[in-house]
Amino acid sequence: MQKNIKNTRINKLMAISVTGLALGGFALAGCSATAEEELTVTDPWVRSEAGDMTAMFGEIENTTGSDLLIDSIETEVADTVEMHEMVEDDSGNMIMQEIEGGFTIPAGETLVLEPGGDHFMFMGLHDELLAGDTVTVTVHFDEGEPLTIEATVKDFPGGNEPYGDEHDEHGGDHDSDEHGDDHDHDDSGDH
Amino acid sequence: MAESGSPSRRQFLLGGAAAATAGVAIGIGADRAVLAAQSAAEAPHGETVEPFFGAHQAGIATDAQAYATLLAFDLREETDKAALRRMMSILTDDAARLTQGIPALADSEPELALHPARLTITFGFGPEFVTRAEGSAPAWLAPLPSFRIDALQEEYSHGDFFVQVASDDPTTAAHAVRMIVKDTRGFAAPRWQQRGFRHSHGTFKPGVTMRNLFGQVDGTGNTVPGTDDFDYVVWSNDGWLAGGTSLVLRRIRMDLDTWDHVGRSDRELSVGRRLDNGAPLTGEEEHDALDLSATDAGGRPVIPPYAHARRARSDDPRERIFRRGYNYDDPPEGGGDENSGQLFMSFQADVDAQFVPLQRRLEELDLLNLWTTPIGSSVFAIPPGCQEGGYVGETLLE
Repeated sequence: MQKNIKNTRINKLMAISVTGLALGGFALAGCSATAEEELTVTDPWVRSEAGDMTAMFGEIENTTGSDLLIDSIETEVADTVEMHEMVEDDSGNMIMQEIEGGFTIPAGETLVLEPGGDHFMFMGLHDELLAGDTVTVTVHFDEGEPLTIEATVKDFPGGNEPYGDEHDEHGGDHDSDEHGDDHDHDDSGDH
Repeated sequence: MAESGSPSRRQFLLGGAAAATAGVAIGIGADRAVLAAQSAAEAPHGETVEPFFGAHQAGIATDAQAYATLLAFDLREETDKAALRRMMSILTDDAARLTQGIPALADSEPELALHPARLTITFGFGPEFVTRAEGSAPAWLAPLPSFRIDALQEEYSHGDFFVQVASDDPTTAAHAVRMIVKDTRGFAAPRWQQRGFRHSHGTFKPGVTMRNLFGQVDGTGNTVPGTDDFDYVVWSNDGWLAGGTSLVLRRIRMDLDTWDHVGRSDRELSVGRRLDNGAPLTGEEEHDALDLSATDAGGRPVIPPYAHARRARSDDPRERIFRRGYNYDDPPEGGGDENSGQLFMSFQADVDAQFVPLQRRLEELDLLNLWTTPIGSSVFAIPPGCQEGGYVGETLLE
């Protein structure tokens, strides 16, 4: 049986639920019937972080039949949440920037949030986020009820996301002022 | 050496044994057909899975996979009970996915997860883990009593947290190890890693007793998974450990250089079993019962007093263990020309009642002690399995 990774995740993870982990992906608590029935969230996770900023990843599938525009995102663990995309700068390097007007999820399509690609950026973390914790994130659309996501916090050293003011090569230690002290998270794992 | 009618070199290279048995002159096209037929007959086993959820953890009663990596960690100072809950939730999720051929959450090499080849990931707890969990440890969860045959090295011994990763595919196992290490290191520091192997998948039928690097059929007396006797020998009924068991891991150095000097007959006498099929010297087949009272024409016991098989057995049915070890063959150290042995692993409900008396008898007398030296030793509590929605260790941590 040939397996496609993405399909495997979506189809088979339905069967795997660990307390507060994968199950969280489908716990759309506090939503209207619209969001509950017509959005599927798969494998939501947030990178553990002792510093000021981190990011959330996962997949949101829009089966509502109409396009969705994400208006804003909030979480109790950070001051603000921005929607970031990766774009090519003038020198051909991929850099991260806030997307104009927010993510659109066309009808029938899936918004894939992944390290090195689109992601939800948490700014102004209130407390250290520890691996194994669960973070509640509320996604507001331009119309309709909000979507509540329970995301698992995981240690993750990869997915460097350079900003426009960085010129070092990929894979380096992105130790910039923009990142504050968030580069510390991956070195020792020592919380 | 080329005789008339013998298969050509090219047939060996392309078609192998099947081409040779066909006994016909075949060209390239036919060779390819043979290859295609072979690959159709032998389906790849990469997607074979072992169940993860259940009353017991997988990787114990599971027919032993070809490769195992054993890992021990020391908990970080700040890792408390709440942190252990988070750690075991994350690691259970990793294991539940990876063993079913699904990439772990945040898996940076997802393609390496798709072919589990019977991957199992099994967790164990050392004494310090239970202390941090504020639980009560069974009396046996401690370093074994010292045996005078031991020459233990710290770097192969003990630990707070244990993981066995086993698969029929070493690449899959390596990826699973990497994922477990990445998700454990926030909570615990690596202490040691030991790798072992058995006969490869497909070399023998499942369930065939392995051979060790002395050439001996090793583990014949094992209780059989799936039987009441296995359940009696292996699974604990005790508190949070009910449905779990204990692991004794001994790294046993086997001195192949001095073993080389031992003749075949003495090699058989040292164990009390034949080398060709593992049968007792008093029998014909591997699983024939030992006849410990049989004597030769001179009145001497056929199975000598010092034979390993005689010394290892007990009349007390409780003094038995389930063995599931692996061979090791690491690069030589310190100017030697070999560094081989066995990762002796035994599972039993109670270490003190089952393993220790057996080991005491072997310490007192066992000719194999001449060529073997325990150089590492660990004891871990192996908690029960969990159901979907739960996590391994919840009976201790909740």
